[in-house]
Amino acid sequence: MLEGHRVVGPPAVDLRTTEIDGRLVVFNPANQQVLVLNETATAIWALADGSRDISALVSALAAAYDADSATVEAGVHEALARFAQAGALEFADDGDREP
Amino acid sequence: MTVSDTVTLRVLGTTFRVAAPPAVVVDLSRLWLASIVPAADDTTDIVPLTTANGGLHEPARSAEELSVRINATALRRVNGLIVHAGVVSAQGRVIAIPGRSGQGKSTVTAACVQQGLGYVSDEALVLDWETGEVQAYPKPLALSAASLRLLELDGAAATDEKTAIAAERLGAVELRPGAVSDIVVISRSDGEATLRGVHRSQAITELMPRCVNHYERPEQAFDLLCDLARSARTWELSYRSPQGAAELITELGRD
Repeated sequence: MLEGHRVVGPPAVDLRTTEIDGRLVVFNPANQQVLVLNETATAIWALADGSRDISALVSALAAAYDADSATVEAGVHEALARFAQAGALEFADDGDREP
Repeated sequence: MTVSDTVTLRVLGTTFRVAAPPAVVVDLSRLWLASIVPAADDTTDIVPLTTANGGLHEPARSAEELSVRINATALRRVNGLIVHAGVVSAQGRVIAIPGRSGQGKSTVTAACVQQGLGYVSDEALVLDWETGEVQAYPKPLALSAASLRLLELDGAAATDEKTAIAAERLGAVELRPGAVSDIVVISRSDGEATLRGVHRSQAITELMPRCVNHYERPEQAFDLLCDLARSARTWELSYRSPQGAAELITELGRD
């Protein structure tokens, strides 16, 4: 499981995204992996833009969905694992970032 | 081996001139009937195949061996995205049945043709890279002994090797398939055959892993499959007998 201070995103360069009947589809041409995101995963994807760490992302989602943080955190980690497996997101420690 | 007869085939845009003993040519012509074209001397892009060893290959001994070479060469040269799928047609509409080898797509495809749908391919949905048009690929069907029994066809081999069956033994071949209207994801079950519609986006997750040559033009492959997913309906079909599956697929063709 990724630590809470890891910054998530931005999305890998050269990704292709499109929408099919309301669902976001993400394609990584480098490895030909494809992700079809449900509503929750789409919300996580939108927040994983490189501007916040996992803890902040969980807090933002919990507030937006008025949901329990522990439940949200589990869903976030599951989604991020899928994104990472597809090579769709970059992860960095805070210290890795340019000031 | 004496070479004494020839036949010319056009498969997925590649022209093959096959030279072989008469008996082999007869067998090959029976298997590839819909792909036979007149011999044309002015065709410059011809792949010669012979049962004799011309220095390129080990000599082929049978129409089945030649068919393997024809399939491999045609798929390597085709100007299109190749997706592992059985493909049938009904009244100008194309139904694709994606699946891995051994998942039952050839058997279900054969059962569909037996029930009156047009045969496009038991192996590959081929989409033109530029236009997205479906290309007919009426190769001989490759059926296991178990499949032949299920389909009540003669010729079950005693070995594990698949038997090549001419499409015309089952029904009609469709050489001008239309656009894909339905994508049917199949799985076996013990119950009655059931068909249920699923979200169109599922087509992408089913089709992309079944692609053979998407790495050649990944962005174009993605765009083609997204266009397909948007325009076609996607279904999950669970079935016990190929005939039960074919009945439901045939119903789709009547919608």
